[in-house]
Amino acid sequence: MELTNQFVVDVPVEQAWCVLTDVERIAPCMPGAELQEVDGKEYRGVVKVKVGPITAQYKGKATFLEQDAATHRAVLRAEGRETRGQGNATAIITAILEPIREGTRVSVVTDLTVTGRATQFGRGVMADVSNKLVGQFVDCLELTVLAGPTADEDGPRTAEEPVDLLEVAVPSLLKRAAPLVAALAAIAITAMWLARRKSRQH
Amino acid sequence: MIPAKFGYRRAGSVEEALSNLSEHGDEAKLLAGGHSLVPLMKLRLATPSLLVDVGRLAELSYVRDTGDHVEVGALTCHRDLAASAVARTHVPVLAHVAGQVGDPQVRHRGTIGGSIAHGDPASDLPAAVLALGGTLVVRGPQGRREIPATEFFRGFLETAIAPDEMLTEVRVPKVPGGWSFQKLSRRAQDWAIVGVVAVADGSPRVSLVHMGSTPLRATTVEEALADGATLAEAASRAGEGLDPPSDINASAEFRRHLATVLVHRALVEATGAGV
Repeated sequence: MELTNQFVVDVPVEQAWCVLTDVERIAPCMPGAELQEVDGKEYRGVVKVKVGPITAQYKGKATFLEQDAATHRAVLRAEGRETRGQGNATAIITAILEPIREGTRVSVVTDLTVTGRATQFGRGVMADVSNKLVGQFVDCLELTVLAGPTADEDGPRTAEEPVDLLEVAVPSLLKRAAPLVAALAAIAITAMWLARRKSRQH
Repeated sequence: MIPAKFGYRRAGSVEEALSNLSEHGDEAKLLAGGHSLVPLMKLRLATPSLLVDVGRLAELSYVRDTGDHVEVGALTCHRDLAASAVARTHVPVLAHVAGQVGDPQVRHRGTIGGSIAHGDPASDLPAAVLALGGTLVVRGPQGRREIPATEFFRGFLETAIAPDEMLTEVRVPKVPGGWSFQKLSRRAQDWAIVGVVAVADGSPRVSLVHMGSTPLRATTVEEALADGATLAEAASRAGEGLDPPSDINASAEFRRHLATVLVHRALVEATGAGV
C-alpha cells in the first residue's frame, strides 16, 4: 500500500537539507524512535509506537537506495520486525524536498509491503497514525532543531557560500529523518492493524 | 495466548484508582469488564504492567433520570443498561444497542465506560452515544471535566481521556422521537461489518460503526437532510469522504455501499417514513 505524507518547514531548502542531514540532531524528534547504530550506510534503530492500549516495538534498519543532492531526492529502504513476533514489514520511501515561498516542502511517499496476516489491515488507520507521527516529528523539528542557533538568518544560502564544514561533509541524512520516521512508523502501524485483525477473530 | 506478566490492584474508590494511574502513568490500565482490554492482552498487543481493577465500584453502576437527561455510570454493564426501565423509556436506542453487544456472557461483564474509553470504531455503544449527542464525564487529578462526544474520539483507539484520568459517567439527552439501529455482521455476536445509529430528533443525527478509524457522524448525510434531500438521496451519500477499512469481512468498497443501504433503512425506521 502507498502512504503519502507532506510537510512544510519554514527554512530555505539548503538549510533544511543541512539541518536534517544531521541525524543525531533530529533523532530526538522522531516520535518513539531511537537511532542506535550507524554502520556505514546502514541505520539501525528501534521505534516504539503506542496506539491507545496497543504498544509495539519495531527493530529495524534502513539504507539509502538513492540520494541526489542536486534534485534533493532520496529513496530509502526500511525493514523492521516487531520484537514480540507480531509481524514484519518493508517500506520503500521516496522523499523529495522542494523550495517553496514559505520555505521547503518535504513530500514523502511510502510503499509499504507486509507479510503474513498483516495483509488484512486497514489503510485508513495506517494513514491516520502515520500522519500523526509525522506531524509530531515536524512540530518538534520546528520548535527545536530548526529554531536552533545554527539557523542562518543572514539571507539565502547558495551552494557557493562558505558553509559549515559539517553541513557540507555529512551526506544527505536529511532525507533520512522523515522517511525513517515514516517508514518505521508505517511498520509499527501495520502491527497495530495486524493486532486488530487478530482480535477480530475472537 | 496468555497475557504477559502484569500486576493487579483492586481500587476501592475512584480516588484510589486515580492515584494508581498517576503513580504508574502509561504502564497502568484500568480494568472494568475486561472485554476490550483483556483480548488485547491475551494477544500481547497491550502489555500494561499494572491493572487497576475498578470493576467492583458499585457506586459507578447506575442509570438515572435527571429531567432532560439520563445519566449512566461508567461501570454499568450492558445487560443492566439494556434492562433498565429508565433507559428503555427515555433513551430506548441506547438500551437497544447495549442489548445487541456481543452475547449474554459479554453483556454481563462489559461496561459502557469500558467500551467508550476504548473507543473502537467497530463498537456499537460509542456510535450510539455520538448519535445521541452525549457527554462524557471524566475525572482526574485536576478535577472533573465534561467532554462532548463529538470531541471525544480523537483517533484510532485514542480518546480525549488523559492517562491519569478515568471516565466516570455517560450522560445522554432524552430522546422522545424515533430511532433505529442497523447492524450487519456475519455471525450474531461479531462486531458490525458496518453499523448505523439514527436518532430522529428534529433533523436526524446519524452515526456510523466501522467506517473509519473512529466512531463517526455521517455528516454528509445529516447535511443533505438539513438541505431538504429525500431520505434516499441523503443515504446515497453515506460513504462520501470516508475511508472505511478493508478486511477479511469486507472491502472498503463494499462497506461504502453497505453504509448507503443501512443508512437508508435506519432513516426510514427512525423517521417512520414509508421510503
